[in-house]
Amino acid sequence: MEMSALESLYRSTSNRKLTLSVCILAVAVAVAFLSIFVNHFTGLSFSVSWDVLTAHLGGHDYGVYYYDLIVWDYFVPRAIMAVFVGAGLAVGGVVMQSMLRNPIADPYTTGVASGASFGVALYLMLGFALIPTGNYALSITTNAILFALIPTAAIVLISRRKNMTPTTTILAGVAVMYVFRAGTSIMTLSADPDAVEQLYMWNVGTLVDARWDNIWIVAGVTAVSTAVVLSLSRYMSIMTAGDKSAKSMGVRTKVVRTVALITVAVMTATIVGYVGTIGFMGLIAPHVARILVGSNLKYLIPCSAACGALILIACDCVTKFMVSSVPVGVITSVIGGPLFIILLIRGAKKVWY
Amino acid sequence: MDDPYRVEDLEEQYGRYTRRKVVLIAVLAVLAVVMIGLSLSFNGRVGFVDSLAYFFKHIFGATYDVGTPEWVDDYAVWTVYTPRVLIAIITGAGLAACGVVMQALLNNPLADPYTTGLSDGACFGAVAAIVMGFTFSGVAESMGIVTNAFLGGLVPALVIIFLSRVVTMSPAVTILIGVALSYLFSGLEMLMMVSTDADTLKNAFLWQIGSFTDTAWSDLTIPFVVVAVSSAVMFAMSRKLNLLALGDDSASSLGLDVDNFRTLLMVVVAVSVASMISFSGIIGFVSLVIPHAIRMLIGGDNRYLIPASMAAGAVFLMVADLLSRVVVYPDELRVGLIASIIGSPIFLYMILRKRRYGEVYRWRCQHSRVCTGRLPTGS
Repeated sequence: MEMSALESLYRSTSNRKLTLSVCILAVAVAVAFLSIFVNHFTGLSFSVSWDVLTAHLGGHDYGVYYYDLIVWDYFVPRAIMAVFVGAGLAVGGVVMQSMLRNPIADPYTTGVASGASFGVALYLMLGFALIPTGNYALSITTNAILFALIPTAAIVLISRRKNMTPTTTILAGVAVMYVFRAGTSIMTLSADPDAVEQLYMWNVGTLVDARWDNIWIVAGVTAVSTAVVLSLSRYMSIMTAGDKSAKSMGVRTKVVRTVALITVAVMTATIVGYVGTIGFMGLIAPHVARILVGSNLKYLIPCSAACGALILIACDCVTKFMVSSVPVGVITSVIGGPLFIILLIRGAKKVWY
Repeated sequence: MDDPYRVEDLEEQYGRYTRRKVVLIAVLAVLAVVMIGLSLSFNGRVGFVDSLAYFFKHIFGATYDVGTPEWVDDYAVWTVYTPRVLIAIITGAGLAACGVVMQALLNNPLADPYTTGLSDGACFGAVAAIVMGFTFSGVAESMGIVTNAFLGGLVPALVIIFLSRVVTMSPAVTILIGVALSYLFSGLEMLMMVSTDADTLKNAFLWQIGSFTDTAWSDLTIPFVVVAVSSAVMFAMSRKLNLLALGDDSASSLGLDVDNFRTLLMVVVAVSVASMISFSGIIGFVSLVIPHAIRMLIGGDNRYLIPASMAAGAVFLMVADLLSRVVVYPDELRVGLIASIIGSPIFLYMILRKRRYGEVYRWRCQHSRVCTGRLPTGS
């Protein structure tokens, strides 16, 4: 088969970008594996953790119950959860930034976080659960997920009726966000301080509640959603040139945008329901990926997912080193913020605009 | 009428174009005055006419014997409620003007003065005072919170301004750095919050929803002076701000020193907003939404947008403050809350009515021929 110089150049850059993404993902998985061994408990040494893992892979439990519980039932699901949550939030961020054509959009821009927070506040402060299960964790999760979807549903309904530009979509999201945030604040005013504290902790976001029975939901939804947006990536790439240009090239912009927004909303809502609103991931990972592989969504989506997974699992490792329990949401902000600034100053001049 | 460019037609078009905006500003200003009267009269003691009478009598130097009913009425009108109304005006006008300027400077509809991390810096400072009792200035209690919030709010803004002097940054990078800084400060703030007890956490949490309760006359001086000066500067710069909507390259080719201009205005905004929120706490919504709402009504010309937004912001916060006192009387809600609750549905409605708002944002107006004809003379 004959290849022109241009074609072979394209192949090689394309391969380079995909290889890079795969490498980052491999590093993320490696760090995730190592994170299982990271802890601050005395007695739970590397070799003990290793024994627990090999015992379970061999099909039986480890002798010491607490070690077994911590390593196999807490740390392993937590590592898997971190990888999927990081990847999912990053993919959500990259889709939102492209669809809304705004570099500071993230998966929460359409109001997902404020809706979820409102749902959680309803349960914590008024005891109201949409699906009354009587189970504390389950009620919080279902409330969060269902309320998180309301803002996006509103925006999608609105944009079906009116001709919405990215700007109006963002602003509608902001307006809905303020409504929910105000609702949450009203409840906070008269609430018991303990409930406020619980709500606050939930808002910060943490991975410690990952268990074997809930990671599969997050993993499944994230994987399916990523596949959906990846299949739309070619249209979304065209749409970054503007709706008019995209339409003239035959892209059904309205359909693509609606599907993308809904997919991201469902994925983000699921993630938020289980781990709370971990901030900054959805913003930073896509930008890091953009610096690495450029703006073509075909490469940007996988690379963002890999970067997101790596960043979140790395931050989670840091939290596990700490003796006092610091939620991972704090670490992503405190460490991620300065790193992101350095990165922006050094490399991003040409990436946006 | 064959020639669409006839001078008389253009003049008439331009006249119509400005008249509408000036009328809106005038209407808003009148509304503001009416709202001052209304706000003062909901004091739980005397009615509308009497309140105004006390207000003016006090201005003209009337004094009463301590303890008499008149003295109490005068106290309620003059000492309790007048500063409160004034701070609502100052904050509303100031935040709205700063919002317009930030959106124009960064060319982003999501931008507001808090985008550069100002609010999170201020929260960090205030929370440090509330939770850890740490103050930058060594002053304890409420003044400690105020100075901490002020200084904390300036830190991220100064970092951004410093960075923008060292490296050349596009508006997009500026805004991203701002977001990163706000995450950094909110992360540090969370670090303190998660380690404190539930009651302190609730106090700190409530500080973040702004409130005008307990505003004293002495609290007004700094915000008033700062906001007055900064709004004057912004208004004077509004023609140059219009140029920025064309993009940095076009603006500099028209003779604007974009980098210095942006730095100058960002300093002005930072100081202005920091001085406002350090007294009242974070009042969201006004700075982001009022500029958009006004832009939908009169377009994106900053010469009119700034005064109109200021008037609208003042009216809006006065209404919100009044409602916050009336709704659960004799208790009070927080003004930041009411602002969101009444503001968001109105805003949502406006978005739905205006079809192609994205284009208004990029500085265009109905008579674009006239406007673009005027633009190059902007500086």
